[in-house]
Amino acid sequence: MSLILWIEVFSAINAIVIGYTLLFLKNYFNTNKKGRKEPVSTMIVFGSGGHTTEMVRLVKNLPKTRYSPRNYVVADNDDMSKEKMSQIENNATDAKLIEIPRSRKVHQSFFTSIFTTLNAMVYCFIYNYKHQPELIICNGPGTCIPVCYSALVLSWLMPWRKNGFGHLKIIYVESLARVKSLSLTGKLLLPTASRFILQWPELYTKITGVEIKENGKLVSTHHPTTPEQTKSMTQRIIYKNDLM
Amino acid sequence: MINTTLVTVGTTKYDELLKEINKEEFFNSLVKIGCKNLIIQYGNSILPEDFPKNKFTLKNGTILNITTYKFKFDNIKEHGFKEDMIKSDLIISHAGSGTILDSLELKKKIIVVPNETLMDNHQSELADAMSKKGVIISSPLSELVNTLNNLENFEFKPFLKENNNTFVNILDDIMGFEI
Repeated sequence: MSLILWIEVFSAINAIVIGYTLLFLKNYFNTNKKGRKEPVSTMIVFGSGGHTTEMVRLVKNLPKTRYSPRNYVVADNDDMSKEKMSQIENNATDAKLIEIPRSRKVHQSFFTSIFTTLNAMVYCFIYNYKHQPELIICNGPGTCIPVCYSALVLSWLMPWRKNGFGHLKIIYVESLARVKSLSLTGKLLLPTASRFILQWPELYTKITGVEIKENGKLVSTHHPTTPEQTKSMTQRIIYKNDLM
Repeated sequence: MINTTLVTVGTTKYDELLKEINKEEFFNSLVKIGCKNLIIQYGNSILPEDFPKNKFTLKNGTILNITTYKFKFDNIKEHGFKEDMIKSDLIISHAGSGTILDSLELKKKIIVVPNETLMDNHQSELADAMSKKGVIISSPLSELVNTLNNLENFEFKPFLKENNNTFVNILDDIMGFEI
């Protein structure tokens, strides 16, 4: 009797594992297909001050028919970001504002920020589940961390959704203000990003070990201590000096 | 020609900058380059008590109009801070990346004075890198008056591109759209 039960449980688990594996394989081979027609559900993470100013410049020219709906994530009490969002969207019906609790206030201690980040994480799970973003654009405010990690976990848990494993793209643009070193958010999101864009040559060379020439002149020289693990990410890490 | 100058510290505490501009030689240098109006947004910094109210009269009788305020918010359209940026010809600012970008977007001349008292100061890195490209002037606090006196010899290079599609092209490529 119990043997039959065990066999049933075992085959159920087996079916789930095989199902997942097939989905993963399907997603893996289906990514990077060209000629897409259907719109992309997009999530744009706003931050504070300079981060938002940069983000506005990045996304104000987005083709609205291709990137729809657009959900703007804002930390609560950030009136400046709300104002900027309404400026670029002009009450477009497919654009929405999502408010999540602030994950880390300026000068907040590292220890208490663990709990506030977890709190923000709960909200992010709910919104990511609801909106199923296929594309997340972020540029460094602390809010990016719970947004991206929760979306990534959901894409692994539910690979059958349109933003399932392999179909969720995180685009990270390191802030123009980071000239020589990555921000904490940048370091934490480096492993998750499909494209990790840097705007200063020195920083790019420091992370990838690849030297950069502009107009035939070397503008940043090789850093011999680049870790092997980031070298293998060179495909995903790109340098752009004309982003803004 | 500079008609209006805006000094801004954003939301930061930068008392040293306000102390430095509360000097007759600073006002003199402004008037010398043609400035008639000076606007000061002092945010969370302390404006010196003896800072001239409404106007400053030079020894030769020329008048420099002065406006000071803590904050102005953009959503109140008539009194927006952005409006003040628009009507200014020169912006003297702390090294905030938001202010720098906004000024460049409005094609303003900008002198950035990094706050040297900040510990982890990656913002002055931005000011240095941008001034190396010749798009802004980065000036130490003590050199501000000298910088003003030499302003006319400096040519500001453009940095931002109009209708820049570089980023959209990256997105289109990764999402599988035809570019």
